[in-house]
Amino acid sequence: MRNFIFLFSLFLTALTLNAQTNNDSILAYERKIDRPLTLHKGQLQFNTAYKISIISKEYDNNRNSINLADEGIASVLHKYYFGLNYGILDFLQASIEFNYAKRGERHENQLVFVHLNDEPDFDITYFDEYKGFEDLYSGVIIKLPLKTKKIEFALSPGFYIPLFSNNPEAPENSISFPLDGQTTTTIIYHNNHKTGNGSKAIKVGASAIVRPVNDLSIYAKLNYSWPISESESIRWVNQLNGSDFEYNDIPYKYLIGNTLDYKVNLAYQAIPWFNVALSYLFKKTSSGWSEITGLRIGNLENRLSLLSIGYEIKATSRLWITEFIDIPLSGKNQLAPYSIYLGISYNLFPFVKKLKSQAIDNTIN
Amino acid sequence: MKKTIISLVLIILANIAYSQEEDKLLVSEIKQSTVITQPATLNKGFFLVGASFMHIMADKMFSDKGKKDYAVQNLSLRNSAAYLSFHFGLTNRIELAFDLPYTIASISKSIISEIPLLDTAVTTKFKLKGKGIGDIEFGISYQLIEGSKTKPSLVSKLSAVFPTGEKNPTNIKGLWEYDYPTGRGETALRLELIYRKISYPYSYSFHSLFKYSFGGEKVMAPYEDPISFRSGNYYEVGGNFDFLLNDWIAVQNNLGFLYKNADKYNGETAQIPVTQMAIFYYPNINFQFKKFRLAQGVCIYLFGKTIPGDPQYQIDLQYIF
Repeated sequence: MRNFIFLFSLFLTALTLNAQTNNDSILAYERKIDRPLTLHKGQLQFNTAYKISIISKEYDNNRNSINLADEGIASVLHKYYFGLNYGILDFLQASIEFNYAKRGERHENQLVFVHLNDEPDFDITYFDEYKGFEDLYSGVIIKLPLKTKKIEFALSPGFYIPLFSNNPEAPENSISFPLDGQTTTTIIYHNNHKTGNGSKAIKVGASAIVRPVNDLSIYAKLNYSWPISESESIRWVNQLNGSDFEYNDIPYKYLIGNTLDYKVNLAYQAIPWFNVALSYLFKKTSSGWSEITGLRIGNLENRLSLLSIGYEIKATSRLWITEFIDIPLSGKNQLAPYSIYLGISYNLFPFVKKLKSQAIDNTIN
Repeated sequence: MKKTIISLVLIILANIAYSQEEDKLLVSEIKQSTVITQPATLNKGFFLVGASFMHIMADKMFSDKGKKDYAVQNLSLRNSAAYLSFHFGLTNRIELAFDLPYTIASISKSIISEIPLLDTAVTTKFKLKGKGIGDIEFGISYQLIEGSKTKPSLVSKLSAVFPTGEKNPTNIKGLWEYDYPTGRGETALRLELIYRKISYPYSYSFHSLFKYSFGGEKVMAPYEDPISFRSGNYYEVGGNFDFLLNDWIAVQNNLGFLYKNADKYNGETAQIPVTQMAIFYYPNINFQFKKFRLAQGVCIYLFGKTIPGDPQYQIDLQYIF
């Protein structure tokens, strides 16, 4: 009997050791709040997400909230996120991120009564469509070599590259002349815009995480970005020729503003696979100018602060599901979106066959 | 010989008994079944209480030619509905259901009218808001073919919708400012057939649905007399492919096709009859926390005609006891 127990214990130990040599064990045992600021060495992470934002409010220059639905210009923003992260070393991570966004903004409908008839002579609709890829972000995260797990610091330099052209496509205006017995001419001014900045920019950032108790973490990050040089784009002017619109493009120069953003996040690990978080985000863009009107005019400073509530579920050791909602708190010269974000993160160690059990023990402990 | 037969019978009985035992689950385990493994209808004596919330902001529309584009002018339409559901397993094959909807709708539009001769410009705001109880629904589901872990099930569900929600515009302050009705104003019957097969950790199902509305009388716009109307017949077919990511997270994928005949007013279809059709994809992710279930999904219209083209967000919370 004693021999049997001894052999059985050896068998169990062998199984346990075998499991520990699997790279996935690192991710399986690691709770959300225990994750270091950089990925583990050899860890590849695919991130994709979708965010829908209902834009029914806007903050004006005096920080007053304007109801866009009442003004007839409420809109919906659809945004798709793609990201790829790789742990080069245990303290060095490389990241690539690029996003796609789409939004249509319809403006107040304009009826013009030239002849004082019951029916308007002109029915004019203005419509602005924003779509395209944002500038690609590429950067690294360097974690400072501290011996404690209670606190971590990291630096995150990177740069933005406009991979796609920032020149908007030609407008798609249309005009419908009245048929017999009708008096109204319908005109739709449909202007196209890009969503990217179209500028090379540098970003420097710093982040820190503090784990004061076992199930709680406080995370903060601060980023500052600025353009490398001024950029060039085009604007379109149109002229009606018969029933067709003719378009001409006029080049103009602009300089994007400097952006400061920070985030503070309080996370609670309710159970090993479920984490709830409350965040505060602030973003401010200032300086910069544009010659789109023909004159060089400085950009208005804009600010936005958001409250974010969400959770992460570790569905499997490799698959993590994140969801949160953003609620606008205050702002200046900025749209105020109410957003729902749903993200999926998939993690694997594609190039590392085995890790030494000592390395795993160090990571877990 | 007699001993052999008795032994054989005993062995067979033992095997049957063993098989029966294998399929048995504790009551608490059944109540914690996921959407993949749950019975086709609630078991006898089980209750399900659920709350659902859906939201859509109609920014884009599919035209009658099937082209998806932003809605003309600046009409903004937001519609939210919250449902409270109560389901009860009368027997292992019969389930009763009651749905109580609460609707919140908002339609807004803004127009500037300019009269150059008089040097005048007037802004007109078009604001319709409606909130209140919608049309309640009673349903009964019956397992025509009783399913199990290995055998497929076929369920027929018959539901009746009663016009308990407000059907007419109320609180009228003007032609363009009033409380939007929260009910359809007509009784309707809905018949649904669902075939489902479980192959753990997967399940797949096919469904078909037909809804017939009996029509009624209501005021279509402020200051107008009520007219008779009847909503067009509604047809839907589709299929589900669902799978478990782990023991408590399921992903559901529903691909469907819907078609709705044009509504009739005073016995006639409108001058430009609006028939609606769409192919939609509704993925959702379903979390099972013991007896609680939380599902979230987005219904995406892939193709359609005269139907809103924006995704519809839905969240469901259920508790089985």
